[in-house]
Amino acid sequence: MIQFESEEMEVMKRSGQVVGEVAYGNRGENITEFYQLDRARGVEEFEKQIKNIGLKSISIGKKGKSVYTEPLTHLIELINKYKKNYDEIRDIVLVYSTFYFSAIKYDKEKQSSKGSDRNE
Amino acid sequence: MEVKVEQYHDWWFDNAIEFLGHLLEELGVNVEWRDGIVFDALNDEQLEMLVERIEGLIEPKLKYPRENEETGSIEKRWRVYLPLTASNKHGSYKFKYLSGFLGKEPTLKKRVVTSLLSDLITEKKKEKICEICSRPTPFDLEETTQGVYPVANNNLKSLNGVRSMKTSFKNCLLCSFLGYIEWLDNIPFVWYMDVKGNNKTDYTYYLYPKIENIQELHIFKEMLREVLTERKYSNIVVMRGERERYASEGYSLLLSLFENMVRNIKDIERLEDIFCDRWICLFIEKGRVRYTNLEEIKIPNIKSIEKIFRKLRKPYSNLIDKTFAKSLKGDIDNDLSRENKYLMSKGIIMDDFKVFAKAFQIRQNCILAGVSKDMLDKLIYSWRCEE
Repeated sequence: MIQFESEEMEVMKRSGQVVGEVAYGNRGENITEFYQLDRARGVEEFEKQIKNIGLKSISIGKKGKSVYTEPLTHLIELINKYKKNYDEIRDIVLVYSTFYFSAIKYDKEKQSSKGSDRNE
Repeated sequence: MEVKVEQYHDWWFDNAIEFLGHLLEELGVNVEWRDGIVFDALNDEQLEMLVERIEGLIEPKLKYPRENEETGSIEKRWRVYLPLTASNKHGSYKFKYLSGFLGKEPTLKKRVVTSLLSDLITEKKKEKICEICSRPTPFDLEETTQGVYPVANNNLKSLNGVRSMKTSFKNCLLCSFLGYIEWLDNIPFVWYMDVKGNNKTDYTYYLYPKIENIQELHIFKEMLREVLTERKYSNIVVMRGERERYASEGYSLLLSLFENMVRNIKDIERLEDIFCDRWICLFIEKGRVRYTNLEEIKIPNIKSIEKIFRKLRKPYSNLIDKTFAKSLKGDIDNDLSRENKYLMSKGIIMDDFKVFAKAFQIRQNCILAGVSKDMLDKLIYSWRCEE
């Protein structure tokens, strides 16, 4: 198992945050991005999926929510550095992205329930 | 005259010999630990005390308190998931419910103990060979039951695979005695019951340390005995606020045990010294018969766990136990929550990040929730980041 440097960990963590935000989108509509990221077999497929997520963020941006995708470019560099062990990077990114997805979802649900309470 | 009970090099009987040594030490007998236990033959008073001690342990170890729904009074009920039920329950003896050595009356118990541990040597020739310990014995052999060795399938046709081909093992008096008293030992366990009366979720996990050197095993188990607190469902309690929480399977149980050890044992220099790296996980499922199976847990990298414990202190109760699986519609899935806890605990113990990360995958339209960001960061950085 690779032991990453702290800067590299930071890149994966931030990328996870971006993936989580993009997958949630505006109402949790892009959840399939998770499945595809998880199913990526081979480093090329994984890279392609990361790029897709980058593109997806633009379409989300058009609907109102902007996502800062710079960490994904650093992530691509990192994947190229550890080509043979890309799956270890994928696992860490997935853990963080699920965490952020869940956190955003919980936050939105909380806000909407507060809003409905006020309306009542 | 010296009595020597030789080591079996087997997880169950080695633990039983250690337990016998522990009981004898409690009675003030001088026990030497070398390839088994060696002590001076017990005198009549010591034999009496040993039987009394065993009798005294039966109720606290094999019964649990339960509130009667009608009267509200607390009753003691047998832990029926254990394979110790006697088929013949006649007589007036208070432990007639139990099979084998444990169900025998004190006078008979004393007779067994006398023939095994005192200097009254029988004149009979040692003719028969025990099929468990392979040693000659002057006594009659008896059928091996699950009470003697929990993974034996002797008396149960349904556990033999081909029903018409019944296996038949026979064991000596010593094996029977050791096997039965091991049920009274202080061993980490958890009894999990999801729905009352549902056999599929009525199961138990026991964790036995596997250490070849019996003296080291004794030192480790003495330390373990201080950590365990007997409760109805488990003897490893994880506190969340004022609520008692229990693990639901073997790996979570092991992780919560480590957590309790770190918390309760003072003056620890290196956690490596208190963590045993080989365990046998015994699983007992309660149904019409008690299905049992074994899993050996060999921790590959104790240093990695040590590193995690140094940073997180309580990885089970502060991180894993708080998580739950929530469907995207908002319902909580208990089965998946339990599976996720299993994956996370197994990942940490086996130093396998892939297994840990599997808990975070979206499965059955459910996502992991309840994770503390601070704890997750600490865990991943201490596990996957260079210092």
